[in-house]
Amino acid sequence: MDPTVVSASKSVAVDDATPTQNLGMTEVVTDGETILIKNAGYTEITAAAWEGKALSAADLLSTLPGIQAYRQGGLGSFQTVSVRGVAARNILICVDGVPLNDASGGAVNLGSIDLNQMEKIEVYKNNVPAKFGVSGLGGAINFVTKNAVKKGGRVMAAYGSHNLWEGSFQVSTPVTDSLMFASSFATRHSDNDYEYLNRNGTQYNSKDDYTAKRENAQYTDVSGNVQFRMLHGNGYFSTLAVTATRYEGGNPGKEQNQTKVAEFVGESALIRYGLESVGYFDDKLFLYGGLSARLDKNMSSSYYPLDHIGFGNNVFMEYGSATYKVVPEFWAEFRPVERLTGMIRFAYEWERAEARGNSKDWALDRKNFIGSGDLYYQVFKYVGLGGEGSAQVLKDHLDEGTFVLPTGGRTLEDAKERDASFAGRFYSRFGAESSPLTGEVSIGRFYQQPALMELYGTFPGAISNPDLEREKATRFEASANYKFPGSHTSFQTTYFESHIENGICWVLSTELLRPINVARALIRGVEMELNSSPSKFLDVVLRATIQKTEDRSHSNTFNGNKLPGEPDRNYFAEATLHLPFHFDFSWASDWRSIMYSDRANRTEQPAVATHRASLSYNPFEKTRLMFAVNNITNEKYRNFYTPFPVPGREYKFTIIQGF
Amino acid sequence: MNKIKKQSLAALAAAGLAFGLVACGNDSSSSTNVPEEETSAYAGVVFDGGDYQVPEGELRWIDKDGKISEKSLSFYQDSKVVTNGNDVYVLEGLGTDNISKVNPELINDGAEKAVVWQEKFANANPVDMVFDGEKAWVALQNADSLVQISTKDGKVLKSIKTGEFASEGETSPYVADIELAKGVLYALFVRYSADAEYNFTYPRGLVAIYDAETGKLQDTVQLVTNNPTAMSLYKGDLYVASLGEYDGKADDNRGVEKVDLKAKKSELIISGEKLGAGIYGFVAEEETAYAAIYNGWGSTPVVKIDLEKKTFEKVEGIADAQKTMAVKNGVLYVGDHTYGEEKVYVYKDGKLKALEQPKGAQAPYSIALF
Repeated sequence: MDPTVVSASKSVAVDDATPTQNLGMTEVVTDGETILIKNAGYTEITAAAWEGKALSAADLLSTLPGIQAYRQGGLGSFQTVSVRGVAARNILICVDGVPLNDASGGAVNLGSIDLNQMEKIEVYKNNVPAKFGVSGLGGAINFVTKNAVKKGGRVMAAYGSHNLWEGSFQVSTPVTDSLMFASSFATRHSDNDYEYLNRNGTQYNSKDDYTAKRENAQYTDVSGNVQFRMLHGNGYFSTLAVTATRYEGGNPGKEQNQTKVAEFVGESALIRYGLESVGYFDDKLFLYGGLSARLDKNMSSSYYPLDHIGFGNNVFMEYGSATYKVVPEFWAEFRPVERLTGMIRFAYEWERAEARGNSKDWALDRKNFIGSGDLYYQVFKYVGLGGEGSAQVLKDHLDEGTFVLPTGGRTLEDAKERDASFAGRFYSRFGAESSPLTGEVSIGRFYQQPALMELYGTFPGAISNPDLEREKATRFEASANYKFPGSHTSFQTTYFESHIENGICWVLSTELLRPINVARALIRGVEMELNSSPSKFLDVVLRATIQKTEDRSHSNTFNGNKLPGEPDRNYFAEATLHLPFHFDFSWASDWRSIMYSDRANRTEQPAVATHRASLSYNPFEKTRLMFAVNNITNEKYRNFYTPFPVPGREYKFTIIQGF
Repeated sequence: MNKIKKQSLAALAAAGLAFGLVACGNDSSSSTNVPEEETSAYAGVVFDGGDYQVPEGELRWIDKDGKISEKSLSFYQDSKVVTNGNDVYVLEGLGTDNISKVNPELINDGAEKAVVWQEKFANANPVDMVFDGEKAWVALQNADSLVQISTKDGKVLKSIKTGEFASEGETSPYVADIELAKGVLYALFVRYSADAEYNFTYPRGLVAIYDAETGKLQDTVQLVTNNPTAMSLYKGDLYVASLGEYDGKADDNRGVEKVDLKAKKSELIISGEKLGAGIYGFVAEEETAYAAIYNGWGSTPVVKIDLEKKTFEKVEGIADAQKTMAVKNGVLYVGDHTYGEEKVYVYKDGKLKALEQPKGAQAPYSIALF
């Protein structure tokens, strides 16, 4: 079954840098016609879908069926996505396979991911695949940085509304016959000083409303990547990559309470080394070994007399954490007989979180042993059976061996023993690679362990909960894909159903937040997608999500409600015209039904349609100019209780020069 | 006629909940000089989400049949409701900082008609009001002042600077409660301080006594316990409840103390050691008081205290009352915040009766009787 590949425009002049030397990527080679190896829940988004279109990572992902985005403001603001009704905190977010999800347990902020550094985005909606550990309730999203594969490079510059500017530079070149070098640098900035209606927090007093400009919302990030890819004498490949990112921005506060100096700063570094083998036993076995190390440091600061957030003292408050993660891993892909294929992975994850800034000293460690695998057998030409699963053993460690709840209510001599988790999924695929009609049915049981900070962390205004249990999910999917004759049109539809248990929610009592396992939910829905290129001048994409999400928690307040941020219906349509004289015009429209931002279903966000358009021009083979308009109808409505204003219509001009 | 209309509306309820750590609180009933016959009828309740993702609270009321209203008015979480017997005032907390006057006679017609006025007290965190005719004193917990407003339009008439009572490095002395009686305004200050590492220090609490007409400071009384939460007047003495530190411990740094206003001295009459912990919520009527004991997150059971005899007994059946209590004519209205078991109870003659919680109603947070 073909994965869905999202590439809204066919103009890829810049990406087609001539490969004078291609060191290649190791992939399992199949006989194609006999075995159907692709996951039906997999979607791949390539750079052409976002370049020049002023889309954030969350914006882009939410164009896919089944994915909803949450966005707190402009460039760099906190942004997340949910997948098929599963909350953002349960979605595994990776860069080059290394998880960004950290010890805090919160959702990964997609706002700080610069797509200009990315080659593609891999989206797994059904599950976390075996190569990422089959760990977690929701799917996985893997951002893949540009690889040192093809010779070439490019320069990109962009300017847009609210003093948005972006720049990036990438180069990839052979150093020797067996060594490829690639490097990239990217930066983004926006003042985010858009206008909004300030209702002053008084919904029954319109006399004090006024038009305000967003203050202290500026954002800047810088990222760089260096990669070496070497072909060894024995045919093995080595890849060494170092990536570093720094971002900082103002924390502008809520609509009626704009801050002056509050800000956040994040720094991260990732070092990866991977060794890929040649194919053994007539390419029946490939081996891979890798070591990744990641450092993240996130800090926030504020000064109450100016910002009016935090406690009411005169001290400049700076608080945050640093997390370290080291992941050695080994995996093998094998195909011992013609109809059987699979992979197995063993990984050890060591994670440490420490206080930074003014926070009280604390340090937490987690050791995580994960074994995972995937096995698929083609029973006969049109039917195959598969299964994937994982075993996970956790061991947490408390700094100095003792943990005291911030309220003094509890003392632990050591971290609690946690049960081993076994997650798994069975699936069956129908059709052959060349079949016009293919399908997949799967059912799985998944777990997600509480994060370190949820168990033992210390936050101002919150207390952790050492008794938290694993979150659980049972998920079912059935997909079908039909390729119309002529291969210009394909249609894919998926039914999905998820039962969530023991979901972690932060609950208030005596003015303190605490995470507890209270959420239960049932999510059912259908996704549909039609991709068609009826002529060489036109590409059309139609997508729809129809779903029902239901809070089933044991609470009179929430039971029976829709899940927050989940509309019943969501439609997306995009058309791209390939015009004469190297022009391309693209128009995309999105509509969603009403939804609620909160579990109580009181904060209603009405149905809304948004539109965007872009025009690109390729005057030369490797030159591309683009002009994009987002949110054409300037939709800025927010429920009164949605405190963060969003930008309205935005423009962006981009130029890309390849070489 | 006015009373008949109110009876048809029955009790009033309001809603809201706090996000973030606020070191002190107060009771949910305020003193008033409105004649008792005007206040004897019914009660009000506040509801909130209990979940931090619910920014919106709801003001509900208890109908004549004793049921909580299906209708509601929308206010921020962390809202507190107080009443002068005729009108209801909703105090939206830190970060929202509004006071709204609500006309109970129009409450079924929706907020657009029922809200008489809404005024902002930016970054001030109004937490309590006491009434004197068409004027009211407002306790602003995160400001260095108390303000007097007109109940006609919410405009500030005068203010009392309280910054001198703030601990070093703090912008406010953190008023927890105010009371008004016989032309005297009593203000209860926590005076906590937090350092850059979020270490909280609670010095002994302080009561400041002002002339309610002029706002002139008359005297202060140093308390003997830490982190006071609420107070009540009885027979010319002031009874102050205190929480101590947020650690759920039982010691003599918390409990109920009696302030002899003539001698300007205070003594601990029921210690936290006896109660089992400090007091998070506190309301009183004459010699009978009710206190929510802070054992820790999610555990604030209620005890009934005889201030005269200095004795107390547990009110069985309430797990997490927090500050959701109001008492009038010997009847206690109390909310239970326990997740999944959110309810409003009526406690009378030693019996606890649960009110039916409408589908979708949030957890009770604040109650006022009118």
